[in-house]
Amino acid sequence: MTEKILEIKELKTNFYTYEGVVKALDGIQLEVNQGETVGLVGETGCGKSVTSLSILRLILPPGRIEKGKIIFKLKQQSRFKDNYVDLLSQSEKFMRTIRGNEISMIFQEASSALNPVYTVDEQISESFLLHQKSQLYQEAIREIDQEINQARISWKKRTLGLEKTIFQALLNNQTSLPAKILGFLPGGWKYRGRIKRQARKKSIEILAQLGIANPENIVDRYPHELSGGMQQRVVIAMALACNPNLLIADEPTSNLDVTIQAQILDLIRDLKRKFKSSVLFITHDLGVVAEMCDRVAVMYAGNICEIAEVKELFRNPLHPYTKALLNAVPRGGKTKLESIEGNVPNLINPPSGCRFHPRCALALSVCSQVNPPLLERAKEHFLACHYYGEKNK
Amino acid sequence: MNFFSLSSKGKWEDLKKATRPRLKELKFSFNRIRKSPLSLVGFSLIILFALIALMAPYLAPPKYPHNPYQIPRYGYSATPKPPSQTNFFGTTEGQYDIYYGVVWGTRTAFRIGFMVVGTILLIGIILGSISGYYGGVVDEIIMRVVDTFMSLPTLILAMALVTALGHSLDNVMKALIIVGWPAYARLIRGDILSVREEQYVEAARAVGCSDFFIITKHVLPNAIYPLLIMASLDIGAMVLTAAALSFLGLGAPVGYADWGQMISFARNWIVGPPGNPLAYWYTVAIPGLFILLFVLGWNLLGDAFRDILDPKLRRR
Amino acid sequence: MEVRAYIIRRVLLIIPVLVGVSLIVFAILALFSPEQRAAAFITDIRQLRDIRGVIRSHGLDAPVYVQYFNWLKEVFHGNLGWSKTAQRPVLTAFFYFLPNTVELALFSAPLVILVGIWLGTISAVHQGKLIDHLTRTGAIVGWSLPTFWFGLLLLMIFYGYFRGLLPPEALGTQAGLLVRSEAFTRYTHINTLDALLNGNFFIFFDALRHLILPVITLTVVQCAMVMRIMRSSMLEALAKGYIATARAKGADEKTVVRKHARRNAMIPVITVSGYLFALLIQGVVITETIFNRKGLGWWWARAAVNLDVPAVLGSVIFSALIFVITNLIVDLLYAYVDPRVRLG
Repeated sequence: MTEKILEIKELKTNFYTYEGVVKALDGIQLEVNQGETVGLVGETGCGKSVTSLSILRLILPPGRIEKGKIIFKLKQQSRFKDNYVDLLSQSEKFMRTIRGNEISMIFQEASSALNPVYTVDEQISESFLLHQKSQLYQEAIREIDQEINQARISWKKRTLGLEKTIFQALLNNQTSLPAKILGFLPGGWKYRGRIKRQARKKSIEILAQLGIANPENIVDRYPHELSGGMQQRVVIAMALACNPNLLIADEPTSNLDVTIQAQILDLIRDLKRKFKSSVLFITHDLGVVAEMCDRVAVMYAGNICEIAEVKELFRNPLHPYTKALLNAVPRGGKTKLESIEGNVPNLINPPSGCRFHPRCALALSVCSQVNPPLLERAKEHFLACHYYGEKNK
Repeated sequence: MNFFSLSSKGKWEDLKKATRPRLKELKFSFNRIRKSPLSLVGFSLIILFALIALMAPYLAPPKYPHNPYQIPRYGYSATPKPPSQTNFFGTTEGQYDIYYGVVWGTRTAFRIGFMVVGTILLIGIILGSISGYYGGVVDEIIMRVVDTFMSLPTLILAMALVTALGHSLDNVMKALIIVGWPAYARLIRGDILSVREEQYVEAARAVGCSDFFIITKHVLPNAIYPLLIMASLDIGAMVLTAAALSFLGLGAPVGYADWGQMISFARNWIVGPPGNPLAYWYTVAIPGLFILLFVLGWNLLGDAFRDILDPKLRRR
Repeated sequence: MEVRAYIIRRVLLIIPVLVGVSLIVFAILALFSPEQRAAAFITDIRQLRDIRGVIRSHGLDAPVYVQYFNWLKEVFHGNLGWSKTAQRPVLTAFFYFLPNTVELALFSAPLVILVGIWLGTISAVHQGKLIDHLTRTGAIVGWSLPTFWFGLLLLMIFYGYFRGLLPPEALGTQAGLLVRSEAFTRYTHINTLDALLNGNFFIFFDALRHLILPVITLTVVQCAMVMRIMRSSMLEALAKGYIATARAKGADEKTVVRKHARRNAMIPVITVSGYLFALLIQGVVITETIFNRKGLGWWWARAAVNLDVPAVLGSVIFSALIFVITNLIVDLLYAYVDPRVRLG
């Protein structure tokens, strides 16, 4: 029994620019099931990245999410019924507990996704410090217990005991005033240092899980001292730090060499299995989709036009745009590549009806008037196209 | 670019099509200016000052036609006199007319700004181009000179130079020129270095264009916007420095229509007689306000240029 | 390893600049008549009686390069001539006037950095909002402000209108007498610091009262500059990929701004702090003249007006030296803040 982990309903996102309103997403429908990898393909500028940012509610002004629902299943017990929650109706504060913890994101360019002035350790640790404070406190208390057992001198035991009570107090009430004061106090360095040491241990652990040779060494480097592939691994480590339910990978390999690209893809596949998370894989590369994904959603100009299982989609593409897209990919034995006539539409004044109709060879008169709904045409095969409906009447 | 591909048929239509993006950009620029009240204030201030400078002989007819920059005196009493019918803005210590001084001081300010920045631009462009385009030993020497000049605080060096050359407004301008050119030379050199490796310069060189042609046709147009911005900001800065030097007593002689010099009159009249401590406010406030608004105008103009001309910034 | 190489290279870069400065100073010196130049070699007021003798004995009629090396030798021996405005040899006068200026800088520099960075951050974070427009307008007006005029206005209001609330000069009459008395030990010659070390709060508050206006006058222009640079670099930093990463990690806006954006945005501010120092020196000349604080700037301004050649040349040498050293410190600081520089 597969259960839905993410369900996007009628999502609309607009950007209010000087030239006009860019209707970047026009009623997106998408589902991701537990443990599944869903590919989101489309040309540059079709709204793939906007979709991912909308899920995390990271659309910044002048952009705005207009309407829709993003139903997400939390991994932890919560006050919500069956742990399902509509992200769009939650507070910003609640969203912060989601980001990086329940849903995390791997960005396109690792070199710019890493902050140049902090070490790898500081950047990965941040995730733990943000979302797993209580675990860090527990581990700190455990460590203090060990030190107390080893300590020989009585005053040292006593100070360690004091530290332990502080940590226990913090564990019980993290937002209490003493906790805040401790953060500012000059003596607070000891407590902060211990917590940071715990987080650092976890950072090394996660890097080791990613199969990096000597994580103790990498952890103290600055981003610019690492190779592109290693930077991308660090970004992945950062995303997986808190074991998220859903991982959004936004073209994670587009700026890497082919060999490293393969390594990173393997890594993501392994990790998905290891961490039992679902992946929303955003790419424009159909080869990568075939390799990585269980299901694929094809996007065109802010609309989803076709969703199907990978094999089904490649064997039996139904949407004219999907067909054209597949014909444009070089494959063995094929002599001629076909390009798609026309240009990607301007999203300020998108074509009426089906946004693809000006470029579509099969366009009917209805296509320019009504936007086709996304309907299940075959088993687990969703399609938004009038032509198919007319043909099979 | 599109102009060259015009077909014989429907030339007008093609022309319209070709210029449409440009017109759109221009419209966008004007829109930017219109939407930014600060830029508007800057433009109007400069136009206002330009009008004052041009109309000076009518606004304040000179008493000594052979030397209009000499502020006329209305007596020899030391105590400043408040604004009145004959002296709109009052008189300073020694009865120099403040109104006459600030009106003709506008001309002085424009003269300082344009002369200094114009000369600096010329020297900077020539030396920077030579340095950036030819490189090697010449570049090394020019750049070391630039480094040296830029490691000295402007005002201190200008003070020393004026002391050496003799106290006068002309020497203040000379000193500011000596102090100011290195920044421009460095800017131009940097631009040329970055442009020199570009494809189109290589191509121009390959077809045998002369160095002079390449610099004037390909390199300078690319560097002109940052130069314009810097020059606009510098007109304000140079006038400010010149005013400071005049205030210290190193620039314009006593009685010369110069804003900085006029403020130095006021130094002894900061505190009024008992019971009326702000009695002599006009001696300080009026010439200072003119300096502030003049410099502000140029700075706002420079900012507006930056916002409008910089393609990277303009869309934000 | 790399850091040490970077430091060594950076220190070596000072040498050509110092040689250049010496050439400039000598060139300025060469503009004066031999009689005026002779003053640069006079350390004692009695030597003034035989100017011609001094000219001959120092070879001021010799070829230029000989004169240059002679002059350089004198400078290296610390002999910068007699300053008639200070009534002291130039080098002694420098250390005599230094503390008052250092005091001014000590109070204004942290203020400039803190306020400038704070306002710049606020302005960038609230881009396009009212507070942004206000701070931007304030900054551009502050940047256009003639310091000498602003100082005079402040004096007019706080000394004139409010009956001597914040007076000029460095100390009041009574405090000045106390400072010079036997009971007061002068550790640093910086009034506020000495007063604290002596535990004399009357002098401390008196000195502080005299500091307020000069510090404000000095700060405004520099603050405006720091704010503007901070604003634009902060805007640039906030648009970077790592900010999106930090947000996607679940960091709150405060952490994003303070931890991730600000540290990166500080880098351009650090690079211009050398220029900031130049502004400080210029501001000191004007401020000390207006408020009649007897510091380096006051001395240099008087020297320039009174054609005190050795003091004027000394001012160029000293300010260049301080400037070069500050720039060195700035560059080293830069390497600390931006790890990318360390590889160089």
